Amino acid sequence: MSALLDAQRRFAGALRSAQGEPAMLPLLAGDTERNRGLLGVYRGTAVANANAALTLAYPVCRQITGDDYFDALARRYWALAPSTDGDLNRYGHSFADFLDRFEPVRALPYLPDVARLEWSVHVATTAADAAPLGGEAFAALDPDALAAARLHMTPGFALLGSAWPIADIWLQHQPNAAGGLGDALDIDLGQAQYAVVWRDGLRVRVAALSAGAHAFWAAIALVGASFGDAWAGAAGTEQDFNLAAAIEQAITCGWLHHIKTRGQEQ
Amino acid sequence: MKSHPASPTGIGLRQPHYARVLEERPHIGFVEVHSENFFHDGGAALRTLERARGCYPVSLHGVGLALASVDARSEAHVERLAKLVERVEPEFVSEHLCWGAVDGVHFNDLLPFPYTGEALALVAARVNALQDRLRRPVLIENLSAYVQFRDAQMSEAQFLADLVCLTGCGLLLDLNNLYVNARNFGSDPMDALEQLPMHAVREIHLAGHAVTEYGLIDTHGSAVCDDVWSLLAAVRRRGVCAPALIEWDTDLPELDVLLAEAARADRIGAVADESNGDRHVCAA
Repeated sequence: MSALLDAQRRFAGALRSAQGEPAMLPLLAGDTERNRGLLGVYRGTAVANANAALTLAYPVCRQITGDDYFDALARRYWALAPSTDGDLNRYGHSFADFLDRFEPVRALPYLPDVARLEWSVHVATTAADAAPLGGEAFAALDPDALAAARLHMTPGFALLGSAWPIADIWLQHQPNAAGGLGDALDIDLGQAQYAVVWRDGLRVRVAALSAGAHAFWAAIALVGASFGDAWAGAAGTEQDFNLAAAIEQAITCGWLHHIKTRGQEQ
Repeated sequence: MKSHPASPTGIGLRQPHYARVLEERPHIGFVEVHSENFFHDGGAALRTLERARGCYPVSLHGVGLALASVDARSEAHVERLAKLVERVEPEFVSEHLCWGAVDGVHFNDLLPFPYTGEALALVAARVNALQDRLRRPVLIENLSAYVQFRDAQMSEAQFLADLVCLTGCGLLLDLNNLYVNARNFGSDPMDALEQLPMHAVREIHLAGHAVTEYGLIDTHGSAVCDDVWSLLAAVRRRGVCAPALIEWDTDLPELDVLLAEAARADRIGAVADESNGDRHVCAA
């Protein structure tokens, strides 16, 4: 085997765990005890870098758990799912799945879904800039053409569903939230909620959605359903689903990027 | 023919200073950012970088390519960098002489490796491929390393000198790293300066370090120390007119502190140039 690859594998073992140190130390020049300490410095840096990246992506989870608990979660997550990319901004995409399986987090049952919402926010933050579609695009379509049309959302648009009020929890933990940081949550934790994430210019926004609106936009954005099929599905999900209000919200918020009518579909 | 002072000093542009730098546009030579923090399709950070590019030359400083990793899997990373280079048209593109990933795990740190012929062949091939893809020379930075390898066949300075010959790359000479290594390993930083090809230096990094029980640690979290300022003067006396950059990443102070450090670096460049009996003429 390549001597360089062997050295890097031994170094990696010492970075992943102190148990890897004995295999690495013979490769190093100088005093063994001092080198042991220095490998510890490197190991600490690797964990700290991963923790810093996770903190950037999951600031609300960090507020909810507190710094010490989050640091412990970050260490545990890094041990199980270390970074695989030279760009640390991509690190942490599976944090919610880790929280799902991590027994001690059961005391904060909404945490995994809050993490899912935060990852969608993280992704939307750096999504491509795009000019949203204006309302005039709808006026140009006759009813049949509209029913068959397929709507395409702006980059960063995301939908989430949870047994917990994740949109309210996220909003309450924003720096400008009405309640202020650290205040007791004025939220009914027993309430399931759908959430929508989108880019408003350079800012990322989060809001709660009704079941009908969620069904409508999920059919369009995730399934690629036609406008008419999505409407039928949403009306079946929520008796009082208000299509006009849903479209107005999408236009006002800038969720829509473009419309493809039947002739334009590939 | 006449000589002139070194190119004006730049500062590392970090998020807490974005607004002030863009509003006040302080008199600095250029700004440097970590490339990976702008590997995006869009958003506020990229917009800020594009605005900064309208005011200053930009240096893209990479921390994630891990050029000496045998098992790097870095093709996607190179493509993201190429896209950013195309977008920003930077003055410099730089990376570190380090490894960072193996067997699919990335440590996102700048890790040292044994300076051997095998490593030199690998890094030279990587740097050549990178320069071919970017269609421009890149600068490679000397590393602050806390451990040394028994099997090293050459010094880091010799490795870099050979790398310059094999690839035509430039050097990003980090004087704090040079100093930290010399202090930690009990050598004279001037020896390393003597071995490095000064003609290839395109940029100089200046930063602070921390003093710990394990020796000096390169934290980028304090002012440049007197010994490193002396090294800058020594480099200027050798006719190196490449611009310096004030690097500050942790415990980031007010912008004015960085600007004062940059002004100090400018004064050292100018003084050394005038005091140099054997004047070196820098290409404009």
